[in-house]
Amino acid sequence: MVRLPCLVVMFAATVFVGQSAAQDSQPFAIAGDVRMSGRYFFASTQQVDLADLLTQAGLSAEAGNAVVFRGQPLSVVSTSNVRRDALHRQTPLTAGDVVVFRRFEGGPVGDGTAVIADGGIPVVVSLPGGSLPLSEVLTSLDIRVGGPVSVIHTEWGRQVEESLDADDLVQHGDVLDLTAIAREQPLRAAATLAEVPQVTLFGEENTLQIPDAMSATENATSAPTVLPTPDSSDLSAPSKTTLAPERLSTQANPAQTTAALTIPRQQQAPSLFVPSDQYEVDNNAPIAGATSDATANDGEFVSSGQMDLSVAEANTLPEKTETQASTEVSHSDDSSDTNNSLFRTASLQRFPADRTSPSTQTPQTATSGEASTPSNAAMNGIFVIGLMMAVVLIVAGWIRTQQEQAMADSNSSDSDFADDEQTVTARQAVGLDAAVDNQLTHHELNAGEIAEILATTEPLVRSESHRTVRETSRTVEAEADQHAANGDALEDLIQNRLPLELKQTQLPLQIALFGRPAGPRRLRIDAAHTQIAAPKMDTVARRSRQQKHATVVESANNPSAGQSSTSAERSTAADVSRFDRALNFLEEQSEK
Amino acid sequence: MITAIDFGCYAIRAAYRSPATSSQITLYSERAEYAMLPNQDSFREALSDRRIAHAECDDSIVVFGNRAGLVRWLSRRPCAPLFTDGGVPTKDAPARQILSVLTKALLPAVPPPGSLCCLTVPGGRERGSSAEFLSRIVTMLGFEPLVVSSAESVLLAAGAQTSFTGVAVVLGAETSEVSVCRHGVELAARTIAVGTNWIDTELAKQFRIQVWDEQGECYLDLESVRRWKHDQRIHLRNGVGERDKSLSRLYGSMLNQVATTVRDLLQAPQVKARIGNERLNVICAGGATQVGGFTSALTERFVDHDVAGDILSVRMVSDPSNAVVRGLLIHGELEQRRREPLKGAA
Repeated sequence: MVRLPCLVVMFAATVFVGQSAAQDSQPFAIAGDVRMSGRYFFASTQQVDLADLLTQAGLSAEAGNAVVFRGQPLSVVSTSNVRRDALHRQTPLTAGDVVVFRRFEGGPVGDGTAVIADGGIPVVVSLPGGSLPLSEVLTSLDIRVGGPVSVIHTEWGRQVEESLDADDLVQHGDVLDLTAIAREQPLRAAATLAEVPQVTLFGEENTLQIPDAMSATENATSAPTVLPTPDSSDLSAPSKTTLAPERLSTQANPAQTTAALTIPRQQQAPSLFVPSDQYEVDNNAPIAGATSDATANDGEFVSSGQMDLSVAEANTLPEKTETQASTEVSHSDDSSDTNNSLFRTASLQRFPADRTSPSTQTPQTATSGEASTPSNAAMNGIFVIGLMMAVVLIVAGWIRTQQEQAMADSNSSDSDFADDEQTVTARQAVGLDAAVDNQLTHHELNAGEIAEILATTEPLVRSESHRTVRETSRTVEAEADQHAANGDALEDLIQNRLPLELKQTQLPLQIALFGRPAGPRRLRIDAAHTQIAAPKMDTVARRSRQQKHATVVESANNPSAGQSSTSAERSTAADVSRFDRALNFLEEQSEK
Repeated sequence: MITAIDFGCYAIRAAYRSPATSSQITLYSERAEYAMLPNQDSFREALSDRRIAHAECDDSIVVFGNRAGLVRWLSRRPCAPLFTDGGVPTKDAPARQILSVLTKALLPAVPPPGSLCCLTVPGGRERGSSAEFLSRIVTMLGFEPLVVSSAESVLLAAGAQTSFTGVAVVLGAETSEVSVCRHGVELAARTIAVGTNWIDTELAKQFRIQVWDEQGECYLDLESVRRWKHDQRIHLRNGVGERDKSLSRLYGSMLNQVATTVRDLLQAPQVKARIGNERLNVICAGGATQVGGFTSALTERFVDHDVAGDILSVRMVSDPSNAVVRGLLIHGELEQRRREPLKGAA
């Protein structure tokens, strides 16, 4: 019972720490024909380029096409042709970007991957078999959608936006934009789709030495460090199970067990779906050579391709209970799509604090409370220390937030009524239009009424301007502090380091101008005719038509005469068309 | 002090760096339009009470800049542009005076002697009369004017990653500019007489988006079209409504011209001689690029016009509206550094 509040506080602290860490990093998602699809977190101070992300993810082909998605809803902002031997830093990315790489030839690398964007950090999920019905994908995310879902289908060289129904297949390289749906129905934690691991890449060295990094990725001997990045969205992330066709289950066996995995397709590149919040990878762990048989309970491990797993329960740790006992996993990974036969090794270890789906978390907590007989004092000590650390972190975060808020308020009070002109004008227009709809009639308004209407709409504009100014001032502070030391003004300008501070223009209150303003252009519409005149029949044309009929009749008796008359008409028509062409030519010339 | 002013047909933006606040750029922005109100005391008093800057003309009251949209409902007329047909108006004397007033308000009051002011001209560099008029205004305010192409400025602002080499496309309100540069040197450029105002006008005409004033005069409601266009759900590739599809067609027509121009420029002899077979990045800026699906649509046009083989990537700048004025500041800084050794030698 003592541990329950401790657990709650630690959970809150973890959320808090996760949010702060997520704020200090830049998330990116990459999918498609790369070796390691997933989410990548770079340091916030790092200027991340498309080449960096592709280097870390590992290109699976010599050449391809990388598409960068950005914004809410996602839209394509960049399409680049990428060659492995000529990978340059030319396309800078911003946090939250989604990259889909498609190679020129060949099918998907390993199981297919798709990206799901819900307005937050995008999620890269695996599609066993290369495609899955949309209904299964949404069901695994616990989303019920009545209508079609917007999906950007990527192929090499083009992107097609489609609206998929429930029975349609989500294919490899697709980007599902659930922004609008997630606003009304946020993604729930009970999702069961296999998520591709996320990788944290802090440090500047990740962006340098592209050729070396590429070769390192190609050799696959130094896989990037997979760290459990604390993230608020990860707390509600789907438990790492897979969907029906290749769903595996493991059983918690006290003794060492071996796993024999079903290999669906030999040609696919291996992929291991590791829940990043549960496992950490130790690159220095020895290679597990033993071929393992299938274990897997509750679908915690999903594997396809040539991969060996050996699962051993780590009961040696004295402080862990039976259900919290960490499970050490070592696997060897055969890069089958390349000619080399190097093996990728890693050792996986489950974290003591298991943050899987709530359905599995609750019974584990209950069981741990009952089964903690041998080392109760040690466990309580650990929880108390954790509790104290959590409290300290929460207090520190609260103080920092208050300070930021106070500074932003002081800055916003100084700059009055200055903000982004688009926001202001849009809001002004909207606010005033609403006021007009409510209060304006066709009679002339006196000064008091007009001032009243303006006064009612002014606070709306002012509040928006304050918000924008506050955001601007925050940006100014952050970037100015970071680059104040840099003296070179030109370099700052070129690198776009200097923030823009939007100020209100001081216009003269009342001036006199000479002349009459032209004003807006009127739309020229012919006035309605009060009396409709009688139709002016073209008597000449009627006569010619009669003549034509006559010639036709005549031609029945004399074919040669008919031919001559029709040729004459044709020449007249040709003259008319020639005249049109001349007029068009003259118009074109006058335009030039 | 380096000062830059971007005379756009949608907005006029001025930026400068003062020695006191060298860690940031001070930006001023005003809409390039004015609203006409009947010359009535009630309107005049209301504007004075609310401290809204206005001007009195022969038979009307004029409110210009950002506040024009605030008061246009009083006359039920849409705002009139300061730059008619992409240039300084010749038959609208108040508009020319308003341009002078706005420029004076946007630029620093007391510039140091010899201060450089880089400016762009609506309608591109082909508008010699506009450039002369605006340069004179800047000169009267104590600055030394330097007219710069907006496309070149965009490449300076956003081309650091590509060594200032590539194709810059700036889609403005009245005109669009395309420029091919190599290491910051412009090799070829062209101005296209099509911008977003043409799209807005065609949409308003086709769907009869109109407003009427108190006298029953009819006007196209371009502001309403703009507001609809700024909706984030609008996408060029997945339009569902008839208006969305018309917008895609109009954009397609404009991007066709852009792609054709890029193809022609890349085939120019001076470009071929310098660039060779190097594939170039395309950098897009301007308000029209902010619509969803823009880069995809432009990429498609490049494919249609067989230019895709010469293009490495198509990307938008991070701040499409202010990229030009940033580039102008960079250009001014470079120009000042170039002149300093000459002054020292003299």
